[in-house]
Amino acid sequence: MTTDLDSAIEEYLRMMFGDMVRATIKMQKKKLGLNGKSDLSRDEYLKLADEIRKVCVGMSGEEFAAKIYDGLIKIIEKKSNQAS
Amino acid sequence: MDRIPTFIKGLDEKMEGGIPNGHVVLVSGVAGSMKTLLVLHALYENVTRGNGKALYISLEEKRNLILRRAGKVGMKLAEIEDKFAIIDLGFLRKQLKEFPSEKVDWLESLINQIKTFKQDIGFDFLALDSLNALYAISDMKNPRDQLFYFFETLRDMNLTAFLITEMKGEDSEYGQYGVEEFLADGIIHTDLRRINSVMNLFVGVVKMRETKHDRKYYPLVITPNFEFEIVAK
Repeated sequence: MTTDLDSAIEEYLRMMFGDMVRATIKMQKKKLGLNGKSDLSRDEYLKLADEIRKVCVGMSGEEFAAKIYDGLIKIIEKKSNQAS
Repeated sequence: MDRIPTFIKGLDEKMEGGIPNGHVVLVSGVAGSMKTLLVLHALYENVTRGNGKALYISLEEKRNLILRRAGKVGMKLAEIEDKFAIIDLGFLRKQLKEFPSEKVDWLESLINQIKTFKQDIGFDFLALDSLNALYAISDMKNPRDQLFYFFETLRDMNLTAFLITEMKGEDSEYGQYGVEEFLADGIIHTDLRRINSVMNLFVGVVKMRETKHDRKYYPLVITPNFEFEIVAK
């Protein structure tokens, strides 16, 4: 599910990060020690979503970040269910 | 709504009630001349009166500082987050510094981001703080051309935009490249002038297309009730 999910996450977060979206995701993966890993598990994606939420809090506050996070979780769960 | 009031008492009356909807307006002035607060005030008053939603993009000043400064003059921005989004791109800039290999075209990226925001959450008023900061992080190879595209894109998006620019001195141009004043539909100039031993704040409408406006500068004050008003005899 990785490539498909990565693209969906990237597309969804484009609003928040613009053209910096890929770099931002890469940076969060690096923080979690996941950079370069080709096949992330559902739990790893959830950890990634939480790191992205933290960046969003810094950028736009708790409420906006919560909205972004909720949308991100929905995407991850949907793709996880499709994959299982 | 045809015109967007600035809610600076006295000033709107001197420009037919406000800024024509859809205009791209420069808010220019030297450091400390209250450009940011003036824009926040105009947006806050419009949003709380149900005139639309706002997106405020900061490239340098931290979000928390903006909230604190606005709070000092009675603006409860955190309470209207769903209608007044403040995006601190400076925070992202700082984070991405750890990734020097990631080259980002900030101007192009910002345009795309504004478009996506408009499409996904919708907003009627945009503020960018500041154009100078945007220039500092963008590769401005052909400013005249790039800025023409930027201003035109904003104009096509059916929103009213406030672009904050910092002037180096009272005699400098309203924008860093000297083309911004031609491209903008309006220019509101805030100025600091020392009178005796007191530094006074003045505001003037230098340019406003499709508007008969006064060209005088007026002292700008914030009343104890946090109302912004000009002193006009």
